[in-house]
Amino acid sequence: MGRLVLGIDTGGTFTDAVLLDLENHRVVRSTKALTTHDDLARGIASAVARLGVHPGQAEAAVISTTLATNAVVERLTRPVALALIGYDPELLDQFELNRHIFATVAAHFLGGHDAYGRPRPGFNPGEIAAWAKRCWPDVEAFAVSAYFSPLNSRCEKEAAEAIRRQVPAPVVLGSEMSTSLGAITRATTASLNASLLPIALQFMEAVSRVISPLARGALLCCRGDGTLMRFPTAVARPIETVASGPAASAVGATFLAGRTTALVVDAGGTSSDIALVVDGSPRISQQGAEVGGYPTAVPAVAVRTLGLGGDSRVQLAGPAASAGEPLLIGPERVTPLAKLASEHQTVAAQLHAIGRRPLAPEDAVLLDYWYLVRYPQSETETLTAPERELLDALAAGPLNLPALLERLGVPHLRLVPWQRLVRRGMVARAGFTPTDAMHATGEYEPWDREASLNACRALGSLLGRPPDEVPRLVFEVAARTLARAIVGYLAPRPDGTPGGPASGWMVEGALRPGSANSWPLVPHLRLDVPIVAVGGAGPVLLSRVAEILHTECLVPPHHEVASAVGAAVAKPVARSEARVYPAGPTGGFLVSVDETHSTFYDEETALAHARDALARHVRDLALREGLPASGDVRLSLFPEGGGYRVVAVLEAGQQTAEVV
Amino acid sequence: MLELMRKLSQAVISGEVETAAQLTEQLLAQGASPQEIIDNGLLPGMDYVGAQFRKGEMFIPEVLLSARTMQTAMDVLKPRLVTGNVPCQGTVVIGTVQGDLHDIGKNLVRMMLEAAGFSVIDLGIDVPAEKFLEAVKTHRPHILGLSALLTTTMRNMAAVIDTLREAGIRQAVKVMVGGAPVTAEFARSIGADGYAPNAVAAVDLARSLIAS
Repeated sequence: MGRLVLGIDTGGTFTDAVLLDLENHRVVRSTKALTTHDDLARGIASAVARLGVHPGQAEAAVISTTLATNAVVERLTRPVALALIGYDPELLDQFELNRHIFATVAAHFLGGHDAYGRPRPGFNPGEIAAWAKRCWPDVEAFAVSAYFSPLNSRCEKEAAEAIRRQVPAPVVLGSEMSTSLGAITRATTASLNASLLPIALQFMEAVSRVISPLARGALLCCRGDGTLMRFPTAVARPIETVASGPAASAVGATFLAGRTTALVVDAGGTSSDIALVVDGSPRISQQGAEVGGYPTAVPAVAVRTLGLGGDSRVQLAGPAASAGEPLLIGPERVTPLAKLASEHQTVAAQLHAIGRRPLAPEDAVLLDYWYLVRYPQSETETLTAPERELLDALAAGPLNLPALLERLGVPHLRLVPWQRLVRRGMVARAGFTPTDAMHATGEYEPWDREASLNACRALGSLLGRPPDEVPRLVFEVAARTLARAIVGYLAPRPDGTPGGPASGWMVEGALRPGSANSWPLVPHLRLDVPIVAVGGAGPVLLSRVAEILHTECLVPPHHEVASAVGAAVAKPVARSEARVYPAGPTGGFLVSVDETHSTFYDEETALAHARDALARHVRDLALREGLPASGDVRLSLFPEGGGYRVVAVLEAGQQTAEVV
Repeated sequence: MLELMRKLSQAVISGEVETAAQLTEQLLAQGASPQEIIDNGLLPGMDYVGAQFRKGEMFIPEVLLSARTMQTAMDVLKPRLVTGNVPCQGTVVIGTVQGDLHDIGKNLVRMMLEAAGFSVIDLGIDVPAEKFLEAVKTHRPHILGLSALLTTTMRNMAAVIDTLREAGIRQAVKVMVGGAPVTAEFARSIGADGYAPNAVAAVDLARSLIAS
């Protein structure tokens, strides 16, 4: 057996653990346990115990965790005080930016820097220290964020020192969390990080106890951009683990398919997620990850989510059809008719009858079912009288829309108070879904296939097509909708960044030959990478998409544990940034690498110095973070505003997949 | 009518302020619309002046006089533009960046934008980044227009954009830039939303930025 790595992923429902053989490219063993949201380490311990790994058997262990997101969403974060230096409170009010700032307590102070990194007047570290001392009994950590600190971190550092002299608390700086401009997201990233520190420490210690006997070497944690950091780094920077799930999933799916470059589409019940992986690294979004509704500056995988999945509602498009499709699929998720019919004989019988009548376009609503899930379970779930009337109407069994309206005595759905009841899970809808289409073709039939076939007869009648063409049509429309979303995700702007136009005759004509009336021009679109299809509905929906885009569709084995695999194969990375920016309104350039600032007259010299100093700095950083510091440093240059960001990435470790 | 338009153009070229005002009144009395007077009477004159200046056959004092002549004619037209059925096209804040004292081009852009129905707040010359930010805060414009005529002050355009980005409000306003040394490439590199090579193009750009 080759090199073994232990990969763990805590997902929404399940915690997965895999033992991966990197060299031979296979999953040796995988297990699942229920995720224990109140204490994630317990679920991890269960999953790992079932895996049966011998002590020291694994070379390394990696976890991808929703710890940070969970803590923020469940409001388990610790109280934090945020010092905002050089911000304009009036501007924050006027542009309604305060809701983007996360803090238990926040205060404004004068100071900070301008667009050239020059200090602004009024900075008083003593005032900040006194404030910190007053806050200390009520908070557990501090965050300090100053305007333009990526250009000059002096203000933040002095403020932090002053705070530390007064109180024994951790202090997180905005400039440590991000070197991007955007004072709001930087402040929130710093304060979120500060509020997660005690939770992260507790978690990492608990997980360490469980898995370090099993792994000979490093214990690593997955970041939101698909790279890895050592546990001590994760303990100091827990906010960076946000959104690591989608990153790990994309990387893992690609690896399991035996590739390093692919477009991964995860098609679940409600929605499909699209992500591009190139050379083992997922494409990163231009905006930082959002967590719990707060925008952060943490790099995250660029994922496009489309409201189309196996259980998406299929409707007739009617005259309002966009893109000329006869059907509309999604974004709502409904219970498949096959499932409802298998639980209610009345529905099965009704569908049988509907399938044999001649139908007019208005009759499409006969397939729109509503059913009762439950009554309120406690006194806190109050209902209005019309809502109770709706529940009572459905108490005897599911009703389709015409029957429901007749029972309630109202002429239109808009007059029925269903929204709150559906949101709370007391009432649900059922309808024709791609899952029903799969029942009709026999590819997947856990429920009542006859009901799906009857629904196909009805739809066929409404569309003017033979019933056995209906499933194929549904898959066809689903495939084109997905293909459009893929094109939208990949379409470039003139400067090469994503977000370009993805509609028009060229795209439509390429996705559906002949539809654009553009002959003798024949558009043709080809995806130059394979599609890797994961998720419950993946294989069925994506094979047709691959045909439309002239590429292959790969369905990897073990895709249900793709995230844990992705964590195991991701690359440990040390990253550092430097800035080259105008030194003042009249000339010169400043290079800021770590704590040092140097001034240059000439831009080229400034850039050369930045590259050189940064390459050395990132190796020092790697050593400090416990990663090997040999290996190639990859430097990239990003123009930003009047200067540049220089980024150095050092990949430390050989946990990369080989192309099969 | 054509005769009068030609005379008006010539008045702009020669810098005859009084004559221009009178001719403008005459044209209005004859039924010409303010837009027609601008397009067919004032602009041709000003375009000619610009071309002559670039060739080195007209000089700054003459150009300034022509600009003043055009401004006077615009002042005659302004009440008509406002009471006419031209709804406000949008609000624009413009200024020449820090360290730069040139304003003819900026003033021309202001005149053209006002003629096209925009509401324009002119911050003047040598405007530091903080002052542009304050103006965005106070006036909430749709567009911010930055002018620079020296290669050494162009970098201050980037400072303005960086200041908006740092404040978290970059998306709240569209930024367009212009001035003799400015290019489309430079505009793209600093993250501006658009570049216009002259005052007429600036109006078209402003319209398309509002529409997007």
